[in-house]
Amino acid sequence: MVMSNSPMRLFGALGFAAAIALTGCGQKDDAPVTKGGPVSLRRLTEPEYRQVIADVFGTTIKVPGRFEPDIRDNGLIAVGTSRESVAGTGLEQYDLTARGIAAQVVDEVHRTTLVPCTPAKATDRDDACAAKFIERTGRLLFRRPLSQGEMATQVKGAGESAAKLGNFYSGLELSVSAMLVSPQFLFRQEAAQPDPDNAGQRRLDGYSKASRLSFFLWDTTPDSELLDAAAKGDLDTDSGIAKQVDRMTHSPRLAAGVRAFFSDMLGFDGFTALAKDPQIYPKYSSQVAADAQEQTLRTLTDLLVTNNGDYRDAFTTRKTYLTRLLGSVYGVPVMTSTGWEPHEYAVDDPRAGILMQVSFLSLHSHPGRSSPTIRGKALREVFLCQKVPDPPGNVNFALVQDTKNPAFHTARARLGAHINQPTCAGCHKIMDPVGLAMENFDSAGGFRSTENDSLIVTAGEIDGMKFDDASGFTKVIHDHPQAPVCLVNRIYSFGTGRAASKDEAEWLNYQVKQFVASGYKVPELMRRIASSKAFYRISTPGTDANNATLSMAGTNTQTEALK
Amino acid sequence: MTRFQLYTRPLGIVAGLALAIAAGHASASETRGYVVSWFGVSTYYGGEGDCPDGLNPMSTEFYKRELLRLGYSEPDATKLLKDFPGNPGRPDGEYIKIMGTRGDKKTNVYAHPESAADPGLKEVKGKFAYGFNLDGKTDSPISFTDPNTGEKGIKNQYYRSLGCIRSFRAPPPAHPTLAQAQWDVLRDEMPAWLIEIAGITDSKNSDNVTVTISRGVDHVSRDASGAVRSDMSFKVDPDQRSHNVLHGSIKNGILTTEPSNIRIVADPFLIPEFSWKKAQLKLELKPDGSLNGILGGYHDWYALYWSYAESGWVEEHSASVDMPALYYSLKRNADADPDPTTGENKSISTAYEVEAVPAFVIHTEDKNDKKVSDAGSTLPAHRVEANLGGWLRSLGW
Amino acid sequence: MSGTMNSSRRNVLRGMMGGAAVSVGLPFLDCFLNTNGTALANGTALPVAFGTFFWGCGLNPGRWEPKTIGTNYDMNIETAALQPFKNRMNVISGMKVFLDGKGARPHFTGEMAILTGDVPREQPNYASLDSIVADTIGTRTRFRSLEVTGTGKPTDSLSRRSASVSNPAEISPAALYTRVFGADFRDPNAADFKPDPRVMVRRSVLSGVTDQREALLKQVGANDRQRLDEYFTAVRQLEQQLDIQLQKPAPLEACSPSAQPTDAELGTEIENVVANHKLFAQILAHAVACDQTHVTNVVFGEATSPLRKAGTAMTHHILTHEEPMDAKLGYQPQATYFMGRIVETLAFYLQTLDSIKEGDGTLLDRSLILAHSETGFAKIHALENIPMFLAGGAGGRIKTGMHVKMDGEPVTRVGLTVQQSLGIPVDSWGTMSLATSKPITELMV
Repeated sequence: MVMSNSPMRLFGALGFAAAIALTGCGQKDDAPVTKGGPVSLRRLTEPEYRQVIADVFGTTIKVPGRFEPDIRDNGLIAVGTSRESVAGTGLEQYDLTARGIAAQVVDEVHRTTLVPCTPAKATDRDDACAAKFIERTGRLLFRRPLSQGEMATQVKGAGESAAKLGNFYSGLELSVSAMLVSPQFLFRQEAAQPDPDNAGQRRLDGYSKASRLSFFLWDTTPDSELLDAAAKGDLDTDSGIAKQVDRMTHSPRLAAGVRAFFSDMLGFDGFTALAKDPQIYPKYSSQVAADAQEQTLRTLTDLLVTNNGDYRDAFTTRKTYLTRLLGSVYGVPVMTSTGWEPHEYAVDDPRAGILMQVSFLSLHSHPGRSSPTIRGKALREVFLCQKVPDPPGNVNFALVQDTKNPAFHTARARLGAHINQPTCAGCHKIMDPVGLAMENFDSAGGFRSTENDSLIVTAGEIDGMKFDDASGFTKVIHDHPQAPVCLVNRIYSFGTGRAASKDEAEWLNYQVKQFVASGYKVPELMRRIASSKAFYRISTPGTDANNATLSMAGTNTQTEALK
Repeated sequence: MTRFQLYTRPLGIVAGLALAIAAGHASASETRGYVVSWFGVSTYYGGEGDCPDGLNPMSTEFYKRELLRLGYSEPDATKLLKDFPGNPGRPDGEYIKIMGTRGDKKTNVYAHPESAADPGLKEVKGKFAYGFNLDGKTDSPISFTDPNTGEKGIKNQYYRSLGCIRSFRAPPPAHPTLAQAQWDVLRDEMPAWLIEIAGITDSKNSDNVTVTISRGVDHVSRDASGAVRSDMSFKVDPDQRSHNVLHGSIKNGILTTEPSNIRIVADPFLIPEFSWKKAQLKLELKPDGSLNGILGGYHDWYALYWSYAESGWVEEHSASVDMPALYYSLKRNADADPDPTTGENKSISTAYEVEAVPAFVIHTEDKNDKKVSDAGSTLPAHRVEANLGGWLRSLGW
Repeated sequence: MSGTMNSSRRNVLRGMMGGAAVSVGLPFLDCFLNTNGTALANGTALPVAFGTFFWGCGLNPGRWEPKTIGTNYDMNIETAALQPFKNRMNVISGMKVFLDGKGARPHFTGEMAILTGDVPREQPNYASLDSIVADTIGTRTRFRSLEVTGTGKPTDSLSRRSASVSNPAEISPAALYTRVFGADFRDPNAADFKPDPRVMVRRSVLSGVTDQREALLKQVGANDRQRLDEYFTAVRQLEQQLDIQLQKPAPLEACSPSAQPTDAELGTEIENVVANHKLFAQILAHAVACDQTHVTNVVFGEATSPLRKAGTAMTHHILTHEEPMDAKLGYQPQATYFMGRIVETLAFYLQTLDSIKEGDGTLLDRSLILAHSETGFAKIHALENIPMFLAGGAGGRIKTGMHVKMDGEPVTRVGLTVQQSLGIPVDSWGTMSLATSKPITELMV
């Protein structure tokens, strides 16, 4: 539908990318002004929850239980979190998890480090000591200091529980589990206040900004220094924000933020339900799947953070990291018995870049066979932010997936027969050539040069750009003008927890220009977004009328704006 | 990456990266790496014809026979058998002691089998067995015929001794119980055995290949189907005890090596180490990249006996191997290496099944790499339990 | 039911429960039920239980519907496994989904229409039928409802509390068992009851959370207010669960937790899926028998049925589209194999419910199980003649033993029938052309 004429639009974008290179970009903040978005209420994702617990209570605390599945919206779970609530079954699980964590926090191993005082009597309440603990812990869990009322409730609850159960620490345990099931913890609830600089408008308060910053850059709850900055009002000023952004983007913890973003964008939550047929793909195991995700994240953080490299090289880099298990899938020797070692694919190795890694290839395949269509769809949606329409009803899929059909040996041949049907041709033209370029890799990511004894041909064309083989394909994606546009859009959405609005298209275009001019440096992009006014701006009620979402397919709108 | 100087590619990868190989190696000769995925004594299964005298009794049967011989009444023997190890209640100390001293009521019969009279082991009298014509004679009375190739003069006296014991019999493709059980335990724990074949110019026919058998530092991994994972990487243990270089040729896809000694450290659970003389390999290079075949040679027969007897009643009862009977049988069937003084043969002809899957075999010269040269020194707990010595000592021996 | 009687029963219980883990013989406990086993001796009727059993990709038209209409029917080839229950259940054929110009989204539209009475364009707009039912019959149990799926994806649940809140499914029988019969389980037949002080403390903690509701709701916009409100609804449910744990449960004859199960491997391979569903059936039946929940939801794999045989690449869903019709047989034999396994598992589920005796009746008698797919003929995503079954007598609230042929009638009539027979005060259900105020009158008592 929208996609049918995208090659033309993309050519427009291509021309634009060239223009950027010529004109360059100014360094001062001449970013277009946006209207901002709503004050958000986001449910913590499972990875965020786990990271916060590790940061607040230490990594030796186990997080037991399972979580309500997250919703993906506009390509990101981070956006879905702004729609999620908590159901009865979900709360039951949160409650179990909270009780499991709380019991560990006050157990004899952990209480010495996590409880800052010793009670007068271990068998009775000690409100002063409880207050100390709750104040310190609550501030990190609620991402702001507890209000007087909240403190009083928690201290009273802990005290009464301690008295009833005859154990000071049982009181604290109940208090921790209460905080962990409370909406203030499970939801990142932002707060707005009147903006003293702009009468009649509101702005995010300092603590809300601190949370946005911290979850965006570090994938966790704000640390004490950031909360202090919020308390002092530093985050109400550009320079105060800049100072914190500077500190945070220069911290090694930035890698955690980059990892969190990419595992969201790449849809790694999908691995939870991914299975391969062990008889067809014996090399694929759950450990291989775990290693495969880690491999891609290591490849990305090494390229983007450690080496401050060009984002587009993620599609072509020959550098990666391997374990022996992955080595057995990739067919390369791995020296290290357990753990990771850097690896560089040979120059003529058909693999290069993250698209040819097991994570992408296996995630977007059927349990028993590869799928050029699913891979093509995934590449378009994940990396180019293009929406591929659902297949229409009443489609005859005859032939496509019968991998043993004697007349059609390869996926290319089967799809060729399938798209002779006009109802299918339109969409498959968008997806299949992209996916067919990756057909040298089976559903588990293993290499193959033939299927049913017929040579697999990977040459093709995407959006008017031709390639001869998989390696040429990665170069085409590397140079695809939509890839950086998509990334900027996604990172911004990841940070704000919402799809960009149409009103923000111009601002995003500006950021794309900056991103291109910077040499496609992701940490710099994150720094720029985290320091921008748009990142924190909230819309004034009543002016939201034009705040329609910049739809995924609507990246075309952006592309048009880029012309 | 610069730390290893050489690795051997598994076959599958060679096929996948034909261009890469061609670019890197001007000559057409290639080296392939493998990790052993199955190893067990070769016992041909041909049905009833193998054992016209019948099969050897189960351990309960020969234990009862021994109890009666020792003078226990039928009811007492029956009662003792009820207390057989593993049965509920299991007051097995007394029982084990009786069986463990069944020769002269005081000597450990497993360490000193000659303290008991030879109860007689039923042996293979069939025509067929796998193995090699180790002595070059085709018409000696002990010769078998290879059931697949029809080759005559096969020597496999070890099979003659074992082949009518139930736990060594299984119709293919099943493996005999005992060998399967041993390998299942060892496979995931024992440092892997590695095979490299160098000088392959054509996988069907190569006149001059070198086969290296060595031991790795790491054990094998499994894949999702439970089989040994192929294309894994293994570092070679530099310990020279497990380093064997053989010469041979490939004809019609079958690799055969010339006679040579082969020594490889194993594991006390199986045998501390194998040491064959005049040993040969016959391996098929299969289209899926794996190897499948036979290793045969002369082996010290007492070491083989002790590999079973050292666990005492454990394997005797669970695998129904009457240890004194086995002892006398091996001694009788030993067919090589006569002792200069006694004239008794010290070695017996053997054959083992070998299967291997493609693997990367890595040779390292980095002195800092962990060197595991004596993996037998630490035993996992369950194997300690199976060790007779400790058990008997705990009973006051 | 005199007081004397009650106190003597208590003595009986004490005596029986002197030792730990005594399994109680049936004759003893029968005295706790009224003579026909449909009510507790204190006069409370045994509660009705509602369940759904969903599978994807339908059944083959002409091979599942009974040949005759009305009573005295026989099951057809593909439903033969259900023949033993034909007098205890109803077969509903011929019903369809009206789209009102909204495009059909294959596999999604059908399940939404049946369970929410609506054809959504994108995301679901309404709560699901089981949630509506649970709001009436499920509020006094520990679990408002229990959701399971045997194909390994927690998201494969069709139960949703509202447009935005879905109830994730349990994928592991072992985990479900622990949840229901683990540490928090109060055996209704246990002699001694002491409220757990820890539960009392937790209860007060939750009150603390609830107390913040008004203040928090004031701080957010309308959309987020609804989401927070859903959270507080969940808190209230949890409070109710704790309240129930603080009360002495009424003894239940048929309550004896099944043994801790060991999961078959999770995934989509058919043998494992069937094995896990059989384990789920046992746990769910016992959970209902022990009054831990009144509402259960089973999803036998998502609508695009991911079932497959080991070693094959083709899933049930793919086969329904791509396997050629066998000219001789007139259907797709490979796809049909999976349908057989599904119906077999449904029959096992009903058998399991029926194996739990309660007085003269069984758990099946006081249950109402809606078993259904989302399409008629999966090959073409047909939204006509969707297979639907209503099994169990709902404690005498619905007639059974009938094949009703409802050609061209909206699927929502089944949902309305369910609601009205279970005593939910509703006179019409569904949106646009799916709106109906006519239950299936033939089945109404």
